[in-house]
Amino acid sequence: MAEGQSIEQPTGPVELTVPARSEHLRVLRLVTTSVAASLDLDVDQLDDLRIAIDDLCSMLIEDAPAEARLHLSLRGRDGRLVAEGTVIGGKAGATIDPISQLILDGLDVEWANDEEAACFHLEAPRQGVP
Amino acid sequence: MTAPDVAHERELFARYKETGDRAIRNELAERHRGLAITLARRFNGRGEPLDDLLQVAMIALLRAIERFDTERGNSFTTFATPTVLGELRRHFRDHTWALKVPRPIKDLHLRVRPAVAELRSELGRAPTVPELAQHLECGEEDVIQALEVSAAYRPASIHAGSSGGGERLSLEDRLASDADPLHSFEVVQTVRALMERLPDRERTVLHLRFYEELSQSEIAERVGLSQMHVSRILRATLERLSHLPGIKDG
Repeated sequence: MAEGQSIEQPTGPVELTVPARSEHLRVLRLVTTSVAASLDLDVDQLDDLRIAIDDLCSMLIEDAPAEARLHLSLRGRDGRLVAEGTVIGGKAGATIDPISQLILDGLDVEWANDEEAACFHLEAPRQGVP
Repeated sequence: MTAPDVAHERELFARYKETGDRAIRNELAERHRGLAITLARRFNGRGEPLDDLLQVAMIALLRAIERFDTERGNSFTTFATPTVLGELRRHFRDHTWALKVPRPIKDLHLRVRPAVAELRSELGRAPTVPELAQHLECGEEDVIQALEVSAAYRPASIHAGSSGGGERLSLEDRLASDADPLHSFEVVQTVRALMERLPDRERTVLHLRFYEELSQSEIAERVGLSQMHVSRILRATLERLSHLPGIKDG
């Protein structure tokens, strides 16, 4: 290792569980932004990340029963933020609507949803995008 | 879009590139107006009038038409979506903030925007939060909160009242009032799920009110009822929704 070079410490995981209701989206965005900022994502990447978290968490909330909770796990890996969201406590889905798909595909993020498992996986920024 | 449509559109783009004919550009803009509307609506409920958002989205759409190159192989929609989203985001960053944001954060937000521009120019890239915090001589958490102000969502729930001149307004009041078009994204999300449980006519009326954002008079004209009748349907439907599981929990 070259002199002055430090070993990158892994960030997280930061775990967050909230009732699966839209009024909690703000806290999910804030915590996600905070973790992402510690990874030195720039403000444009943070903007995209906030939109992505909103859309993906909204997707889970929309399909979740009233008593369900939304669990979000955030961690840093190789300078990227990895977020995983899932619904716990009740049968749920993760159906992405065409508008959300269009928007998510236009952001500087990589994402996937699993309808059966009612969860999503998100990484930002995209690999290979400066 | 069918194959002949795609071919026709590629021909339009090619002709526009060759001639710069504004009539062709306008035809292309008209064909993709729906995309601009869809994306603008996505940002609705954050404190900016929908008309302003539509205008921003349409201008961005025109810019995308100017820059689109058919030879790159992407569809125009794929190309234009990030452009329009970017313009909408920039609009929010430059023009809006959420209600009920603490004054120090609002003030910081006003300083963050020029700081981002200054550092972007200085660094040749978008700045990070630590760079902004150092530049503004404040904490990183304060910068993060100031950035969140740009997102400007209103975290209201469907059952939460909203302040209006000291009077708390119920969702029913807000829905039935043309003066308040109920733009909250979160409310729309919740209502969308609940609407699945309604009969066709009620669902249609709510859809026109929430998603097409028509006034009661416009809905009346569309479905062939009187405005008073539409008003009653809206109130009755909201009353019915309020008794469904999931609407009063919290």
